[in-house]
Amino acid sequence: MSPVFFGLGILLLVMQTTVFHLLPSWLGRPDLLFLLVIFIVLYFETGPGLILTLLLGMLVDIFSGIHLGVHALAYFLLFVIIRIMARNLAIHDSVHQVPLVVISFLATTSFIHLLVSLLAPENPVLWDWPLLLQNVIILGIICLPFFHLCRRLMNRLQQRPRILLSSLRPRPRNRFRV
Amino acid sequence: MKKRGNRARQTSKLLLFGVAAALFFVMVLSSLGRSEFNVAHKIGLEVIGAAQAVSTGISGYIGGVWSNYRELINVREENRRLREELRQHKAATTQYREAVATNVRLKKLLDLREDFPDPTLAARVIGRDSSLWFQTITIDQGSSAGVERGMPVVTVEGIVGQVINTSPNYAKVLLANDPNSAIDAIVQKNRSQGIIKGDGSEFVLHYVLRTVNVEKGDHIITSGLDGIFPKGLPVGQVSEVVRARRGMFQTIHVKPAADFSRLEHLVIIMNKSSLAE
Repeated sequence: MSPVFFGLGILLLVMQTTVFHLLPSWLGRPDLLFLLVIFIVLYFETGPGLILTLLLGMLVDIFSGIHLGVHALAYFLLFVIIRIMARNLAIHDSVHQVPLVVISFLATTSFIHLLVSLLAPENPVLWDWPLLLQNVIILGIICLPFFHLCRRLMNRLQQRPRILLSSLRPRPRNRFRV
Repeated sequence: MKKRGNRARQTSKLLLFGVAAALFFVMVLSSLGRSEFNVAHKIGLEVIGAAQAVSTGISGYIGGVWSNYRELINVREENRRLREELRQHKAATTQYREAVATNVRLKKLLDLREDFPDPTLAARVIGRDSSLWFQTITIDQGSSAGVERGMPVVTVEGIVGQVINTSPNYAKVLLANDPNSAIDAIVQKNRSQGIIKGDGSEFVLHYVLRTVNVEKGDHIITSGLDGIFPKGLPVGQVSEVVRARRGMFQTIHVKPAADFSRLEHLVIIMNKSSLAE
């Protein structure tokens, strides 16, 4: 299941860095990869989820900004914080997912802004409220249908019979057969 | 016996996973704050850069088809024959116009390339930064073509930025309007020197004394003193001058000569400068 979602993450990254720039400006540039990260945090098991989150963060670092490791660290902290929150809050309910996405996006972008400002204090990055709010609103609107599609994909992958490498290997003959 | 075997297998799996996760996390942490790509990053840029090139090609083709379709959508049904004829003519005209525009653009690029003493290389933009805070692009030329970190990138209109990372076939360019970019520039009319820095969308010319006469509409060009950009390249035009009551310097806002939202073909100036590092 993880490789499929990793592939989906790459596809979303490619789309965000190429096709989304052709969209009209009022549609903004929705950060679908961030929604995928939130989905992974919410619905994946800890091990594969954490690895996938770090890998996606590393990929985003290649194509965004000049400081490496910033997105990977931000996504890692997001993973840990949401997992801790999930113990006490019913964030798997769809009612709570919109505020979760909105707050997570604001927190993550703020953290990245802060980290970048600390790494290069001589080059202050301009805080752009209108652009940020536009992105927050768009993510808030599309997060539920996006999660729904991802859940459907996840269910389909879980129902699919798994092909294990061990099953493809030639088996030794049954020694107990007479 | 079987249970013990299962438990041992689970423990070894868990241990293996823990070691892998720890190694991965150490790798991420060790790269934090650095700006040079390691092998994993280069592989990532190489693989996704190829996907970006394909995606840009496809979206450009679909965009062309879509714009042709939109041009024809208002033609009436009863003039189908005429519409078909018109569509063919329009499509042909669009193609000719596009070909002429491309020809003009490439000719200008060629003229520009001949202007530089250093060898140059043409590149195509294949991807753009999707984040809110950074201004970078991906281009389809890399270290195998001789592109190196620090090389300046320009277009017919003016300066674009600097190469910051490369993989064999692709490179990442820091645009001049990113806050992390700094370029030495002068006001063309009175040769006053300053540093052009990005503010996310436009430029700000820093360190020009308050006493220097700078007005809206003045042209800003590169000084060549940074050892990266050749002297005399257009940077932009002064859009606003702010003189605070206190302080030695004035703040000069500059509208970039190059349109960063419509970058397609670029020229990389292949000068190897120690200052670029």
